[in-house]
Order: sequence, then C-alpha cells, then structure tokens
Amino acid sequence: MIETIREMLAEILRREVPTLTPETPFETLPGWDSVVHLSILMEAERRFGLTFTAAQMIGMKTVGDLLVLLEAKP
Amino acid sequence: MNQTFHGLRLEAVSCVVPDYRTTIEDYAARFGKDIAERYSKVVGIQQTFNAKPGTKVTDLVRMAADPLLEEHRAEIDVLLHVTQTPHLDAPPESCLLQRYLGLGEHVIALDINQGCAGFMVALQTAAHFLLHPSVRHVLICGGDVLSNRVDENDHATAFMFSDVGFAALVGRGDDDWAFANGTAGSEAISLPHDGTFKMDGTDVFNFTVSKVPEQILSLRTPEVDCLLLHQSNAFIMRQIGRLCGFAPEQVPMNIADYGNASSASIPLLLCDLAQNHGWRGKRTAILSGYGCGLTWVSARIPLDFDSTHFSFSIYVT
Repeated sequence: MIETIREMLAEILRREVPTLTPETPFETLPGWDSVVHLSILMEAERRFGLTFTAAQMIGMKTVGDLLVLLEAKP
Repeated sequence: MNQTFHGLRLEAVSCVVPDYRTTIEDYAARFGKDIAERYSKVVGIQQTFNAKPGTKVTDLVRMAADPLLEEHRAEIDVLLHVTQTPHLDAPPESCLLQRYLGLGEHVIALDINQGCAGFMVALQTAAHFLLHPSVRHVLICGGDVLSNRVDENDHATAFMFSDVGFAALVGRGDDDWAFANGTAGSEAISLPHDGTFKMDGTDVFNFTVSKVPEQILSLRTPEVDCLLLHQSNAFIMRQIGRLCGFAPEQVPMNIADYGNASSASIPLLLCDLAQNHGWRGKRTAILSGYGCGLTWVSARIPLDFDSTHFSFSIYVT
C-alpha cells in the first residue's frame, strides 16, 4: 500500500520519490508546496475512491495519515 | 453571529472587466508545463483579466456604477466602497467617489477593507444601515487592482487575480436576508503596505474547509438551491460544496474564466450567470465570501434574476 502511495506521489511531483515511511511528512517531499498538497488530496480521492471529512483533510500531514484511511476503506 | 434582516432587495449589480488577458499558456511559458498543469487542475484558473498600469480602483468603479445611477442617484444615502488597494492612504476613496459619482453631500461614505469577504461584509453593513428609515438606497461599490501587487516569481500567486470593478444597489423590498459572520485575526493572507501579496496556502486551506462549511450549514434551509462562493480555488470550492451537501451543479464556478477577482468575485459571478449563462427566475442562494482577516461572511438571500438588473461589460484597456 505504501508503494502505491509512493507511485502516486511520483506522478504528482513528476520526479523520483525517496523511500517513504508512515512517519514521512508530505511537506518534506522535494517540490512540495500547498498546491502539491491539494493535488495529493485530489488524486487520493480520484485514485482510491476516498471521500474526506474536513478533519481528515486538515489532519493529512504524513504518509501514515493517508495510509490509515486507505487501510480503513472497505 | 447570525442576524436576519427584513424588507430588503438587491436591485442591481454591475461589473466591468478589462480586456487584457493572461492565459495558462503564458503561465506555463514562465513556470513550466508541469507546474502549470498541476495549478490548472487544482486551482482551476485558465485566464485572468488585468487592468493596465496606473489604473485605479475608482476608475473601475466609475465604469461599473454608471448604469446603476441614472434612476437612483439622488436617493443614494450610503456609499460603501470595498477595496484593499486604494491608490491613496487618504482621503478615503469613498469620499472621492461621492464627488466622481455626483452623489449628494448628505451621503454617508465609508471604505471597507476586508479582502475577499468584502462584498459580503458590505451587504451586511448595508442591511444594518437600511434599518434606519432615513436610508433609501445603499450603493456598494469596489474592486481591487491586485495583478500588480503579486510576486511575479512566486508560481503559487503570480497567476491568480483579475482586476474587476463592481457596483451593487440595495434598497427596500420584501426579502429577508439571513447573515452569519466570523472573524479570526491572522496574517495567513496579507498585503504588506509596500510589498506583494502573500498567502500561507496550508493555513488558508485548513480555515476554508472547516470554518466556511460550518457557517454555510448554519444558514442552509430546504429552499436553498444554489451556493455562490467567492471564487478562490476550484478544488476548495468543490470540497465546500460537497461538505455542505450541494450537488456540483448547484455550485456554479467561473474561476476558469476570470480567476480570483477578490471582493468583486461574487458580484462578478452573479453578473456572469445572469448575462452569460442564462440564469433566470427566482432562486434562494447562499452567498459566501471568505479570506483576508481572516473573515468569513455568508448570507441566505432570495435572488430574482428577472427583476434584479445585472450588467456585465468588458472595457478596452
């Protein structure tokens, strides 16, 4: 699952993404900015069929925050 | 705070847009195809319209207000001028506009500096003034020339604003207007006195998806059939609409065509819907402006696209 997230991030950032852990903050990714962050939310919705609450969007700071939602998806 | 006012009517709204266009292709040429593609998908802006150097907000307002004044000039008792980009620190531009627009000396003239929530703040202020029987009409006008106040090297903000002037006439009628407003002091969006526009995108996003939907939901009733938002960011607007239970077609957007028009954003959307997208008849709308302050103000307002006069024009720069 974490590899799927890494692939998604590489596509968004148009570059190789280093190895990720659940603790990796999105803002430490090379090329990250607030527009990239919204792209991550948008692409996660589209690619994984997620629908976020406001709290989930605000709390989405690390790879692990997204992983938890993906793993909870029925 | 929630407030309801009775016996109001939005009589007319007018907007002017300059014809000088900057496109997403211009943005891509400057910042690269990848950044432009991502910006286009998330923010949604395809083009902006910018005033020529030296244009003052009062120049735009004079063009926008002209169609509204012929019939009601003598009955305007309050002038609310909404801008965060006046060309002088003093005198207030509202005072200058009293003279430029040929209004009486009895007029109460106020400047309102409240950024992207400015039109909504002015609507609520107008409603307050109309509580007094001596006030016959309130003229709300304004806009911003922000395109020359951005950092051209910042890809997050360089391609964002259209410079638009607007005017709106509020008078007495049969409508109830229900407002909700919020203020939380922050420099997350700022325009330094002699600097360029700055925004903390993350802080602004967090504010927008939490405070704004909560406020809109406090006004939502079964009659509400559309949500007219300040045009800030396409992804954020879709999220606000979804979080408030609106179908996408109930949340019209024109950010692709006009970018972010700051305080003129909602008047521009109204005029665009009426003049260019065939909106007719009665609707019950929630209008919501949010931004610099941080300020967020929403109102449930009955709209009549047949009887309110909407005017939209593009002027040659």
